[in-house]
Amino acid sequence: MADFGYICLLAALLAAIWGILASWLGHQNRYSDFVRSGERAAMAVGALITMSTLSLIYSFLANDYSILYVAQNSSSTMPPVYKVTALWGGQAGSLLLWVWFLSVFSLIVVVQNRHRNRELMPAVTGTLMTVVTFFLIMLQFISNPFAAMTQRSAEGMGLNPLLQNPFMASHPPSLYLGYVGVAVPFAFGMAALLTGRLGNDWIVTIRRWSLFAWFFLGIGILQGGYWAYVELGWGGYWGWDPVENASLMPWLTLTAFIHSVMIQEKKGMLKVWNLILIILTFCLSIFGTFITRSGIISSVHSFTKSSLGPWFAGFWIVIVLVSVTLLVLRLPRLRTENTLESLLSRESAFLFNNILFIAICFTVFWGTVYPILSEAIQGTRVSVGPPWFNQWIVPLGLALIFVTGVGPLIAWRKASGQNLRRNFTLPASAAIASALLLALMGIRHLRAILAFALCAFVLSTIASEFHRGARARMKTAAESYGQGLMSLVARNKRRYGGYLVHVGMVMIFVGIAGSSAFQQEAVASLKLGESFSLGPYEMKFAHTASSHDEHKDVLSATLEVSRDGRQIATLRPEKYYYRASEQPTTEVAILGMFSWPPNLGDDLYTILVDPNPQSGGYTFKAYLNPLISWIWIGGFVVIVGTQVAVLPEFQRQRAIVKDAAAREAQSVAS
Amino acid sequence: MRRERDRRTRIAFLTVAVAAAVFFLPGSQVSSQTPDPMRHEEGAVSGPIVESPEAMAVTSQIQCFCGGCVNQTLHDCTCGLAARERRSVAEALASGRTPDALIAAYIAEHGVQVRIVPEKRGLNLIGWWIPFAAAASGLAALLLVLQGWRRRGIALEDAARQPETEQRYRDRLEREIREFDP
Repeated sequence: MADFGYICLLAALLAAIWGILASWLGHQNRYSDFVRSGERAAMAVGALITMSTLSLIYSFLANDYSILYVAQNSSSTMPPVYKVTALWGGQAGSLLLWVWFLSVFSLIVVVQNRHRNRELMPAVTGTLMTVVTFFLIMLQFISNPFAAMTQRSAEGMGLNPLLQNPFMASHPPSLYLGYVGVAVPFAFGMAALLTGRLGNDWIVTIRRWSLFAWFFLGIGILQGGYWAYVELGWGGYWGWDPVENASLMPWLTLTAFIHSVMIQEKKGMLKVWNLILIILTFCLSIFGTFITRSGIISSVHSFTKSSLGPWFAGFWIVIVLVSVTLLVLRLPRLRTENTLESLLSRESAFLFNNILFIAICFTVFWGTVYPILSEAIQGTRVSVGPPWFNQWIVPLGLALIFVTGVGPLIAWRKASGQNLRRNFTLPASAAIASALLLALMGIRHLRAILAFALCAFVLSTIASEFHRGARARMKTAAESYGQGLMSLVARNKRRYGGYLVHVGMVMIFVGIAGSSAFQQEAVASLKLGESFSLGPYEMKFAHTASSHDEHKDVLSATLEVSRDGRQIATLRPEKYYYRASEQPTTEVAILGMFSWPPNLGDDLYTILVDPNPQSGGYTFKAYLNPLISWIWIGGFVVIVGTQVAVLPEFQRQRAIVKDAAAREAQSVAS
Repeated sequence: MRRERDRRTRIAFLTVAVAAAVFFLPGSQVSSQTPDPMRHEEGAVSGPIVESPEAMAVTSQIQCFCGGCVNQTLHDCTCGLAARERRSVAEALASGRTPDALIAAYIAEHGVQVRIVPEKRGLNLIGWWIPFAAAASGLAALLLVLQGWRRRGIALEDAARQPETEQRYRDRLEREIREFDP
């Protein structure tokens, strides 16, 4: 099986190189046969890498320890699902997953565009195959997942225990779908620059791909946060770890792109800016992969130092140089078609939104690379931890919430005083009222009050948009209020799906603000029968138990949780001791939204810190995390909103396709 | 009319600049980080381990160096090494050592990277303030670009309003209508 997988990769490499050459020759000489050949090569690459990946998965399931990668990341005692997820448990498999996704996306792009975007397609195929070729070269010569063991082992070393978690099984593929999904908009952007077809066609084509990449990056980030929350046992979900940052940065620039592209679609403005954002997003996705692989920045996620770093750095530099050169060469043809009429307009609000996203992205980037720069300049490496990030990200995030509220309601072109009064009186009143209410409730945390007031502002802007729309439907289409709401969403899914995404993001902000501003904690060393309290909860250490299965020994402690003198739950924080890795892990116990009955107000988060069965004393740590569930619920709302936004709008779709076909016919005729 | 627009633009610039300054300045009322009294309210009935403010001053500044928990402080980390370090910090403080001396001892033993954030002095000030400088420059650049676009828009509007231009366009429109529908 190893040989089969390896040969498939080799054949895929040759096919990908042919894909680049054929696309290039077809584009330069207008040989449509070569263009088609390049596209068929891309489809063959997709099929070959799929077979290679499946053969590696089969090797994991068959416990084939003649393959080094399988032996290092799996053991016969692991459940089958983790044997499959072990595919991305190490470096070579992660790279294979990356290139597999990319090859399948390339195949889909070729199929989707067999009758569309024919002028762009050679350059799109060539760009995608160039990226595929780079990764296949890495897999062939630097990090081969099919490398054989020098001596066959009877048992594997097992997967890192921290990765044996359902969220860790889905988090890396989600992130990779996002990282790799960005390659498609990038390829179309490059194709637009290469061919000089700089109109809106490529923008329309990549809309769904951009949302797809954005969605999976976002979901991957949220899953990673939830995994950190339940698995790492420090009471939080985001530690500004370099690898976390690496996934956040392309998400931020892609979010900026998704907003600014609307200005290009509607007003023909920001063409250069949108190309910059797409190039930046792809560069950041490669940068993320680079810092994860190179080991130049220490991270809980990063793989050991490998020889991949310089290769990725070189590839990254080539991408930057080529893209920037193309962009500069095309600048004269990227002039804006319209001008701005007023600073008080939706266009301006979108630009402020973009600047804030980029400022946040730059701050994250700077905090991530500053330790390396410091070492290069001062000779000493410093650490840049959460307090540094929070100092800058919190104010920028608050400003972003404000703009999120302003953007959808302010008028296009120019907002009059009347427009501002009509649209913002209610939201501003809601914000002021909620700030006053919180102050009256005794809350004195200024940033939290500001955050909640701004969230109320945004929610009321969105609510008033839905309300006005439904009222309008009642008048014009004689529908009931509920029907009006439904048909409103059905008739403009992109807009109202976007609003739902904003609602989800506001809920996430509420969760972040509540859990970071009002978190409480308690540590106690207890003997059996003793108890400690935190906020309204009292936790009594009732008993301990130990057990073991074929992988690990488990030590658990039972805490009986009471509130107002009444027992409401039993929590069992645990310590796992995996035999294969000899690494203890913390298994937290949480009374929260996934408990029964669900607790949406706060999470009581308990950790067994330091068990010492010899002395009879156990150290427990507990956190009270108010509103943290809102982060996960908000994530769910974002998922629903994105699904609504990407649902096809048949009338508009037909118009766009007709328009594109007409333009295509016109260009062929001329 | 134009003077009025320029006045509004100046007011908008000033408002944004003042808001940005108030918003970002550490130590300003809006962004000041005062210790939250609720955060360490611990009401343990039995056997609580309460870190004193002096101990917190040390453990929340020092990064855990167990190797498995990057970006967590000794105060937050739940690993065994962090628990031992918290105990030894408490003992050292009880024996009369100061928080500053303990932080200095950690730095001497593990290097400056043991601090969770760089000290705000020397070249590290650049590290601390670059994001602010970048955000402020980005904002200023955006305002300049927006103003440039707006001026161009006004110039085009004014040109369009010129009587000669207007007459020219009107003539052209009438000509084209005649040609289109004779």
